[in-house]
Amino acid sequence: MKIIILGGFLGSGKTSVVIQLAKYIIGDTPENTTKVVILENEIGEVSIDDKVLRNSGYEVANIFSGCVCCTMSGELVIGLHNIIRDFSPELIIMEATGVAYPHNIRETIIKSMSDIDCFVTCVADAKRWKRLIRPMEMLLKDQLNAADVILINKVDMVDEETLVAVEASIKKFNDTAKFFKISAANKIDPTAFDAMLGNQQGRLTT
Amino acid sequence: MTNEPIKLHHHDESCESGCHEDHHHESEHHHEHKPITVTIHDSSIVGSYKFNIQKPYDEAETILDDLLKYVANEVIALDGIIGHIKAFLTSQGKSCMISITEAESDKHCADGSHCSVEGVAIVFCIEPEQLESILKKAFSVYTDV
Repeated sequence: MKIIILGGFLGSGKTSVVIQLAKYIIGDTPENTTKVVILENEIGEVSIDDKVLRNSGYEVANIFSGCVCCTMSGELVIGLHNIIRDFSPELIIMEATGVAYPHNIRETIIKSMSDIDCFVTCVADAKRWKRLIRPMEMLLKDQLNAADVILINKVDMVDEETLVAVEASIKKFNDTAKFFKISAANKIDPTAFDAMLGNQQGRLTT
Repeated sequence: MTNEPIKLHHHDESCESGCHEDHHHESEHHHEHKPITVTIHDSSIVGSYKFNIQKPYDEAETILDDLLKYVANEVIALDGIIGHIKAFLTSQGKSCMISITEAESDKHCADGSHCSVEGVAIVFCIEPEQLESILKKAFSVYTDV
């Protein structure tokens, strides 16, 4: 079993990526639905993204009202154990809050579930990068620096010059990750999903 | 909403406005059963809201879109940074009766007369009280606060 932790700042497009990733893995076979379980973590007293994902037909578990990278790490471990017990999925997609540090989540998971392969993907918002980088630099840096894969999203909404600058800026924080430029509003290149899954075989075997 | 205190840790956005120095603890902003609540998670200000719009879905969608744009503009006007402002709108009461006595069906459908809104606004670099004020002002017609 694998866990993909999907991090990235608020509004970067994580949920849009989750929907496409789940669809890519499950394919067009409805009976495969429980192979993938999405674990949503949201701060705030109401949850939004889980409703969107459920409406897309996926198994969704939710931890809200706090961030599992810090205050609710215990709930994360319990939540994961419950998902494994109830669904025996082949993959859990853990969508972090937009203020979470994915590497903290990975550490929590590895500490208590050392036999699970855990990958971190971070989504960066090309459109708002310049606006956010100054006031949010520490958060963005710490979200990105431990990512195995970085998806630079909304590339269709910036010009080439901006995109080059954004990529260079991101690579100051992490130049070892695999980079993909995407527009999650459109179809994402499957090679990005294969990289997120940490292997060459993107689709799960039956 | 968890009642456990928020553990301080190394979340450390370098918001240069210095607006977070005197933030209260999350639990101090916790108000059960209110349509609008504002809490703090590290340097993010988190406003949550639930209310009904007594309009059919299409009309409610337009109203909600305008309300969220108003909130966004108010946050920007205070030099705040928008993390995201989201809301989930669901229509309630939409119904359809279908009857068939011969080959063709007869439908009697009615649009829902009201919608539910659940949403979250996560922003940075403004005071919690400012976000609360913006949300209350924006949603006052629907929340009665």
